[in-house]
Amino acid sequence: MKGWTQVWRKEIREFTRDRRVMMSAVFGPLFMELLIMMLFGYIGTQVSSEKAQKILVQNPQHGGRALAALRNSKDQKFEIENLPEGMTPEEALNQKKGRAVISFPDDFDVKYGNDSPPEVKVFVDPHEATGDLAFGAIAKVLGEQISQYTQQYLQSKAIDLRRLVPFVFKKQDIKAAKPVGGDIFASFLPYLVILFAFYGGFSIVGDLVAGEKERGSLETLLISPISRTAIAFGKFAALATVSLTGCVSALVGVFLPGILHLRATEKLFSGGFAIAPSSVFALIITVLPLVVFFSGCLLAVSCYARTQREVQGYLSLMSFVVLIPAVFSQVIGLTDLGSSRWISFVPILNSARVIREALLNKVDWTNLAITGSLGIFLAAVSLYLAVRMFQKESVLLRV
Amino acid sequence: MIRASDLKKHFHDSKRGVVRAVDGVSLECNQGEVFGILGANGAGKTTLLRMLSTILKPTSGTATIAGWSITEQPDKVRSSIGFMSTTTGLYARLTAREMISYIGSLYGMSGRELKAKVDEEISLLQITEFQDRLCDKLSTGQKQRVSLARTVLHDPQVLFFDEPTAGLDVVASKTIMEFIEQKRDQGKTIVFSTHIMSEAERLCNRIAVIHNGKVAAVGTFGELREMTGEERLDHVFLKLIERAEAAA
Repeated sequence: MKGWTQVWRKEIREFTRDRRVMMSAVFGPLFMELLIMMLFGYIGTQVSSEKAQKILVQNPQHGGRALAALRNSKDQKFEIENLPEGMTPEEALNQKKGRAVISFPDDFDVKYGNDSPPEVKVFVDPHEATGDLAFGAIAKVLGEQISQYTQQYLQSKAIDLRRLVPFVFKKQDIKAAKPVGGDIFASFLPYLVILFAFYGGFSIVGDLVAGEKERGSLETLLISPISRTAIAFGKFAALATVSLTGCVSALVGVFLPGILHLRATEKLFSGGFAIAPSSVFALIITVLPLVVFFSGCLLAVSCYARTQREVQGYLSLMSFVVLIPAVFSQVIGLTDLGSSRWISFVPILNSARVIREALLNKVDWTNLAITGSLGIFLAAVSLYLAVRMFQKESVLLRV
Repeated sequence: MIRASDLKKHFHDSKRGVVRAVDGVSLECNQGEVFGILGANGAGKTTLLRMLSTILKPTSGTATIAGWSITEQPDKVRSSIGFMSTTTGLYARLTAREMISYIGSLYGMSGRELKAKVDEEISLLQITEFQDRLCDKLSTGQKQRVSLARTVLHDPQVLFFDEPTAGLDVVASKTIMEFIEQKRDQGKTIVFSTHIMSEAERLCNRIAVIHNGKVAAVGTFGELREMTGEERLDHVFLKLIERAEAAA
């Protein structure tokens, strides 16, 4: 293995002078993550801000106490306007005049509190999330009014409300470990970490062996006294370094706004971010074998291919193998599969789950042990394959 | 210095079946000699040199370089040789000096020894002016100089030149020819593969004519002329090829 450090140093020196590497492994992940964080921060701020929801009212003159309740609500803020004359609720919503339209019947005031209660219609566009948000807010206010009315009515009839309710229930959050920087991190960070472990070295892997075949510089290496294993390992180590740099840059891009207390992202870090040592350990145990695994696979592809263009062709196909489990990892939490033990045996998916658990500060040691062991095993296999491939002259000298 | 015995290299090709790129080559090359390997394109010259320089493993047969076996002690062989061809590229993002130093480090040189050796070659091959320029920015002639420097930096006893002037202009070719002559005068053993007759005539003490992976004839120019009864080397070459074809 003597001499691999020279190969590693040379490759790193070349990488630092290659704009593609700086873009794909350093600036790209860093600024892309910053951008995504800003975007999430903006959306989070918008969703949770107390911005008034614009609703339109049809027949406001008949709205009476219900409309007054909406206008005077302290919990929910509404910007209430009359439905433009001659316009139907459907037309108004299609033209984005408001998020919802409340339509009071002409006899609303007359029938209010009578035996046949009047029907108030709330029109929303079922394909607009903002419509559902507006409906929820309206339902809350009007529901409270109905509840108050019911209580007053029952009291006036000397009926104890408790006799009409068989049981009550309420939502109770358990005392869980505090997630790192909020739940949003746990949902998309694992995905990003895995992506950059793969894509970090994507741009330069073609250069490493296939590029040397094309340039004719591989011969120079092959006639040097250092072994082919050492050459392959030096190149692998350089690739792993770049991939790891990609991962770290992505993580820095995510945490930097929190450290700098950027205003645009303060909502994301409202609870601060504290990561437990066990989570850091879990991240290292998961990410390092993942980087080694990907680097080994990428190097094997570069050895096998004749040209850099051929490398890109193979990698385009290979990226689906990485993308599919990574995307699946995003939705798995919505199903019971998320907690199944067998997930720990599915490469990439298991890593995404352990990273997610680590970010939630809820490390499952069995999952971690299986994922870590499998990761190390696969990393060793991919590295072995890459080194073997580098030693096969039928592969190395096919041009 | 170089002794090859019944060297064979067979490849399997899905379309052509078994390809006998080198098919039982035996030759000897003495110290201080420039040994020419003359052959048409596809004759097996490059495969032969790649086996001798341990890039390829022979299918059968063996060879020794400076006393080391190419199959048993390939690392020792690699320490004793330098290899250059026109197709050998440089690393675009390293400077000329860095490129030469990198190759030196692969041969176990470091620190002052490496710097002194690099300085020496840079001076000898007149690289000083562009030593800090990226290889990507060098002219073809400048690249050739850097390539020569990295070939001889570790002072190998045996040098392989595989069609070193192919595609080069007259000036760049002249530099290489003079360099080879200089190394010959220093007592290095040189194996020089070419299909350019005039170069072979100018440089080589002895020549092996290779055809279809086999040695068609070996000898000095005088001996080859005598064998064929032809005066001009290109005619000698063609006659030997015809005979080889007829014998096959």
